[in-house]
Amino acid sequence: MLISKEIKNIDGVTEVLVGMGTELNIELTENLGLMGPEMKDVSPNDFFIAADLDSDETMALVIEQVTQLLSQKKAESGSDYQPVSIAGALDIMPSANLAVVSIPGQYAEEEVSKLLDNDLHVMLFSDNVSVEAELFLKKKAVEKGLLMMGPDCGTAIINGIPLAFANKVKRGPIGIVGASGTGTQEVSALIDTFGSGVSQVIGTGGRDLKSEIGGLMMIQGMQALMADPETKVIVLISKPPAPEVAQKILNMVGETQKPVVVDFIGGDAQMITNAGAHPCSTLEDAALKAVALARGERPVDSDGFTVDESRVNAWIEDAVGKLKADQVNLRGLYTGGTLADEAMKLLGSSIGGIYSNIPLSPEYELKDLNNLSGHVCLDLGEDQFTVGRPHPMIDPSTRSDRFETDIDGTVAVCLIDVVIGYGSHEDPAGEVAQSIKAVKDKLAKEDKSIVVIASITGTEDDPQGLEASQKSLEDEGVIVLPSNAQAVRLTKEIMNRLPKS
Amino acid sequence: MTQLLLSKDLQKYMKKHEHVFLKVHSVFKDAMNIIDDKGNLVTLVSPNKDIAPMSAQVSLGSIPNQHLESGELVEIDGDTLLFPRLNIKLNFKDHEIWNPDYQKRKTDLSMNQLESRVMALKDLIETHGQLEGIVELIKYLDFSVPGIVSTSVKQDLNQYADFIEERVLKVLNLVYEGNYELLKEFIPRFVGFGPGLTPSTDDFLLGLIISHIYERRKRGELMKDIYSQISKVVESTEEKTTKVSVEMLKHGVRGKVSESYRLAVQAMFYDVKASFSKTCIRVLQNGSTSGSDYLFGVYCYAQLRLKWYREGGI
Repeated sequence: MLISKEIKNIDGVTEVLVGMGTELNIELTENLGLMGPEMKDVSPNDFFIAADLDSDETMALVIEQVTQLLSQKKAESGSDYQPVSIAGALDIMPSANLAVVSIPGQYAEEEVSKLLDNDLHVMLFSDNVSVEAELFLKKKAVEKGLLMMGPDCGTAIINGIPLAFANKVKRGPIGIVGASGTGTQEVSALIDTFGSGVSQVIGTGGRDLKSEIGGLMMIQGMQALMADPETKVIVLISKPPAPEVAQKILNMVGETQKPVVVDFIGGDAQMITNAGAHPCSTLEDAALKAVALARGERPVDSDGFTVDESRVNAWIEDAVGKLKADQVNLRGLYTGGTLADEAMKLLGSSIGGIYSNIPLSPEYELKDLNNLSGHVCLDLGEDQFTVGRPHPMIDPSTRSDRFETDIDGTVAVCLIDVVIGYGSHEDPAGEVAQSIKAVKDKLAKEDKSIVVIASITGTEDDPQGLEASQKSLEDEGVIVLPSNAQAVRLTKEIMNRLPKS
Repeated sequence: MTQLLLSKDLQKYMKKHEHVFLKVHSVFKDAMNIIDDKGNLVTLVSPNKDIAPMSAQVSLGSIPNQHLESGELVEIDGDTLLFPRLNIKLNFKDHEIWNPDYQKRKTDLSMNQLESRVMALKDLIETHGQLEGIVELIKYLDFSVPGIVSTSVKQDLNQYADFIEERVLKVLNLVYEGNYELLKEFIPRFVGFGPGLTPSTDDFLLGLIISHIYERRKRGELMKDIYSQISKVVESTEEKTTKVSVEMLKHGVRGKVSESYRLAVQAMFYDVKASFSKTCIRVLQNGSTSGSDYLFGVYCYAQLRLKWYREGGI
């Protein structure tokens, strides 16, 4: 409310004007009958109060009230105090026991080291941190019994609080340690969908299971979950670790009575089984097995569809029927790297080689990202696409641009992920739906269509809403499957019905 | 941690002056103005506040600003700003540079899209804006009568809107006619009115100016041509309004405004991905009436644009 209006509410005040002493404000003062001799000395940079009131006491009250209203803002400034140092932050919040760090990577070692010295767990969101720095910080954390999640750790849920990119997942008996951001999101969100929940989701950063780091944080995280009474089942997620690191981690399975589900995406299943853990073929499989074990049920392998078979067949027939003979290529446009990786692994060589910026083998490395041919699957979150712009989970325009450039009349199926939740764009499904509409309009001019298959990583409680996101996509004719694995399976079925690329 | 920003023009000023003394001009909850002896105004804002021309984001929490007084000495030495009495130093070396200049966006809006944005903006201003000042006029402005901007029948306008109504109409009609010579003569009788350190009419005028620049640039006009046309409009404001406003308008005619103001005008005239309503609501939360007055200006200019189009002009 304007100060003048607020002051006018004081008993004894008939009229008042508060403002800067500009010509027009003084003219208004005169119009309101508030001019006094003092006003002739007021200049545009002077503040004035002109009032018609009943007594000197009321005037004193007015001055006091105006001063209070003006200085109120200054006094409030302490409430949003932003400390300039870790020491300052700890002074005002001495009970803090976890810090999220997101600063340029070259400064991270020094700042994180200070936090660990102050006995704080750390989630290090920053990337561009050297392997040496990571090793130093993780060793320090282990010595002090702390977590040092990261660097480049984008997902965690600690005591029910989602940090960075994470979904609103119900609390429950399953603890996750993940070295892969979107992989961890997919598993935790599916656990929620399957009716269970998570106790803790601990990130490690993508390099943790490489030989140089030795899985220090996955081991630390696993020990934390083993000791946590809320956690009944432990899930470990990572791209295939260095063999000696995998062995070290799997050796720990024998140290706990809690069932352990392991998805070393595309890793050695026999090694996992031999260790007494439960191997998984997909992220969805990991979620299903974890939920079954948490319920005391026997986990079974899942490699099919959870949607009705007749519906799947109808999708396949419809897709094959509407494509032209020269539409033979696949485009995977992923915002989540692990989901893109899982897609390529599940498709394997069944449809022919898939070119990528994160290829499964070097001969399929894309040389020119601006000139695509054959089957292509892109991780749009990689550095090639994020220079000077945010990650595509935050800013969907990266993928929108690729829809324009990468989909032509040779493409039969476009496979996508939509990751919702905290940290993600406010409506990624709506954005991608717009891109799909545009690409369909473009292809219609060639009398062609395209099949778009998607999965959504998220929960109904996420800010964007799972159901609302699904509707946005389906309204644009997108086939939406409940998981990335199922979306890939349907893609495979359709692609295998088409002439080879 | 938020990356703190330093505006490019302030960086240039600091490089040029190297060592200069300034004084505290005004102190607010999340901002502080300091001024040099030539009248150049430098603004320090909290990291949660908009970066603006000639400003820097600093952790104002580190400065006990309730103890700062108008006239207090401030020193700029290289890339460091000092408050000698309080022995506080702020260094801008690691600040990211923010460029306040005009920025074109990729895709234009069609006239139909512009029309729906105009209606949406009116709704937003009426729902979320501060209507206790001059913005109340938005309810009564009529752009539909060919050749003129007028007002429809009004009821009980607040004192600010009532006082300024005729002058707002005069300004809008001069802009509509493209009569910048008369506008230049009239502006001294328009600026400096309303509450706040940047009085309402000045924020309104800024909205018109920035919209004019973005809309004209969109259609290919050169900045130097637009500048030569409108800079004279604000030449004679010096004695008529506050120092802070004069500086704001000087930046404005060069197309320089704070980040949220820039985003709002881009959202008005270009097909941007950002949520239009969120962008505008952020501006409406600015100051007591400033954000509302500014968007009122943007709204009026967009209405004029539609009017020109409807009436067979540009």
